[in-house]
Amino acid sequence: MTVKESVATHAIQACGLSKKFKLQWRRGWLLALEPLDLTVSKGEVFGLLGPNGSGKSTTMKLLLGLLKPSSGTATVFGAPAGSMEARSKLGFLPENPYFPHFLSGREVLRYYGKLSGLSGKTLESRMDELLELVDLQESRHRTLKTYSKGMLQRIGLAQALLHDPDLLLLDEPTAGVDPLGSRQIRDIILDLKKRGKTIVFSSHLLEQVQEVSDRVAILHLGQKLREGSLTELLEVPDELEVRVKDGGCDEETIRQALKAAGMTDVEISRPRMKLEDYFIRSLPKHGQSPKVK
Amino acid sequence: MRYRFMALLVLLGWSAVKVPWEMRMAEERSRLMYGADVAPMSMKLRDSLGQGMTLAALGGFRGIAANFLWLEVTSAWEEQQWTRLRTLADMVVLLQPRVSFFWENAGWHVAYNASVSVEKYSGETKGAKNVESMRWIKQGIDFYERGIQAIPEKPKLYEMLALLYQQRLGDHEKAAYYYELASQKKGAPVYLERFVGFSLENAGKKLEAYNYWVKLWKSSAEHGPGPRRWSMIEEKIRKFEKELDIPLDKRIFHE
Amino acid sequence: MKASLQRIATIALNTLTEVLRQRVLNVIFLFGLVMVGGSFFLTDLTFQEEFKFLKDLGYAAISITGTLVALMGAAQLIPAEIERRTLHTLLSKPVRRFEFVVGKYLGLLGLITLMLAIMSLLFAGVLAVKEHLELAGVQGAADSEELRLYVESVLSQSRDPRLIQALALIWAKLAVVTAISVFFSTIATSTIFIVCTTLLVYFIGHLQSVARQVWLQDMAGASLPKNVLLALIAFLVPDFQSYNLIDEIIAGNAIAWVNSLEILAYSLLYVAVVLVVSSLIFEDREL
Repeated sequence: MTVKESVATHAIQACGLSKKFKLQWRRGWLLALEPLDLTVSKGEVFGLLGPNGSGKSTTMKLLLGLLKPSSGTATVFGAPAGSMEARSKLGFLPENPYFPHFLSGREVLRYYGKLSGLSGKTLESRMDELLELVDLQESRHRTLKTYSKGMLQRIGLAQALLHDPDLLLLDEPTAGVDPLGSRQIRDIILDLKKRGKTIVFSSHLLEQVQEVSDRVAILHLGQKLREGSLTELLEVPDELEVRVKDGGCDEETIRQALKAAGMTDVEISRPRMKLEDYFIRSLPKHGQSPKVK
Repeated sequence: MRYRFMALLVLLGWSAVKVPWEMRMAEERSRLMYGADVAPMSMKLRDSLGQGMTLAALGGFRGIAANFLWLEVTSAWEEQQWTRLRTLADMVVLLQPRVSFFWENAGWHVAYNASVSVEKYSGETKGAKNVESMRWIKQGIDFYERGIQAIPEKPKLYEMLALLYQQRLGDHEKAAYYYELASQKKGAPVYLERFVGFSLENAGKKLEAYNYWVKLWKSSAEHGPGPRRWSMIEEKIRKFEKELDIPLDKRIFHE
Repeated sequence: MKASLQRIATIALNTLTEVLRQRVLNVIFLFGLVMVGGSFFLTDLTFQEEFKFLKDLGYAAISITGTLVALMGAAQLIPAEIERRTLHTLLSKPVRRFEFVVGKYLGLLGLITLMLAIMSLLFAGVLAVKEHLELAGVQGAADSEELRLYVESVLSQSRDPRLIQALALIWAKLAVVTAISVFFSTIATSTIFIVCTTLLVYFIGHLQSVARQVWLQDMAGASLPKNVLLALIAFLVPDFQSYNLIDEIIAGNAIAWVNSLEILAYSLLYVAVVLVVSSLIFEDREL
């Protein structure tokens, strides 16, 4: 692949990207990110994992242009990270969404929309579309001061999607959000992926990452420890998982059958649905008010 | 890093423009304000003003500081504390030398109120009282003269100085001099030019008075009815021409 | 280019909305109280004194209120955006850093202009009331010269069109103070620090003309540190004494519009330079 071709298929390409911070009051540097090589292809969902202080936010800020790299380069769809061109192609959802809290939901979208270059009827219809998508139509006239954490997260997602960017950077998109909200956000992410968008997000909630990502990278103290697709990383190579519909067989029968086929190291248990699924199913359907006794 | 360098360049470029421009504006200001744009304040003034006033003056609120002090001047007048009044008035005019009102009233307070009060109420002998009274009148003259230096373009202070010479000192010649200066300033009331003539007459300078009335007469081609009172001037000229026995060929009026 | 201006306008309007919703304008009511209260306080004076006091009070009140807003405005707004990280969200959009700085400044300037306009109207109102009260006591035909002069005198005090010049100069001064405040907010994070440094520059600015003169005259004889310090002041700090013409105008002395326009031009150019420098420095700022 030529350089140009390789750049063209990659949503993000970082080469030797590093960041040092000078510490105040004493001599010395804080190496927040050691030289990082990272490639995210178009249409991928990429997860950035790591404990606090691992360099996840630093990486995001470098990709956004909020920080300038100490060395190395990063490009977004071929354009230098932080350039106007790059920023016009991406949307960002910050951690603990920070928005002007004196504006209403609608006004915030209009503000960011104008800054993204939208205006007039296009902007207004896009705003309505997105408010619908994130289910905030009813609260659109209330000021952000009155929004719950989940609502702020959703309006954050909406503003990130305003100009229909090809790349989404999400910093802890489901942190502090209840399971219902998380599910909604996850569904939106999967929907965006279907439409060919590239998504990079960082998260602590490993189960959720597992559900949506194609590939992940694990960072720790500024270093990239691991990188790869979930299949590559997580599949246990020499085991198989089988789920059988309970057709009257019991555990012993199955063991015998497998023993006959030469498999003795067998573990059999009743599968459990995920607590999250159970929780969501237990809640009344959307729109129903709680029963008053 | 190169942005900071550019910033430095911009600053240097601007300072090269800024400093000469400011100097030019300061000169212009000086010209407009007749050198009364006293930027720094002397230590003495700062001490007498006190912290609050100094801060106000530094912050560009000289007017307020001066006004507060002026209230003190008024109260000193009510209490007849003339020396204190004089000191306060000095500070006021130092703060706002371009406000005619302050010079006018400072002069008035010392030349009239103070001097009269001293005449009447200071329990000294007659001789001493006169000396004291004279001192205050001289201070009034001082205020008016300094005021004229600070605001040379307005008629009022000249007029008041003339009035002072006329009323309190009986020096009609000086009065005439200042009335004339006053009458030449923009916005001077029209009667001032006539006062010159009257003062000259009162000073006994008949020939000068006559010449002045003639000068006035000749300053206009029209002599109809109006605020300049030509009929009165004509009368004066006629009277003097007779009295002084002006040769017929030099007279304005021949009957 | 056009897109750039639109983004600046969006940010400016947003800034204005923010401060308005923070009820900053309530401070104008304080101003109103001061004006009205002050005008009733002055009853024992001659009308000349009254009008002078009123005008000085009005201008001082407008000036102080405006300066306070100029100081606090930028000092609060910009660090708050950085701290609350709303700036991060903003800069993730295709917005240039200088557009942010200029937009913020214009929003603040808009607020100050609005406040100035309202306060001036209030001020004019108080003057009008005073004029009315003063002339109401004057009965009879204005025939005698003295009476006519008196009326003329009163009106010249209360209806001086040159007062608008003075207002323009106050506006210009506030524009410069705001720009300085914005400059410090792009390099510092503590609100108090920004307010203090801007105030410091404000006071030094009133002495800049002295520093400049001393530096130019005594250059040969002075020590190096002194020279450097004075030179820095002369180069960087604005000459706030330029606005002393306001005193002249209030005192009723004639100042040609040309002079005021020159000061306006100086102020606007100064603002432009400060904004350019602020933007350049802000480019490098780590967020």
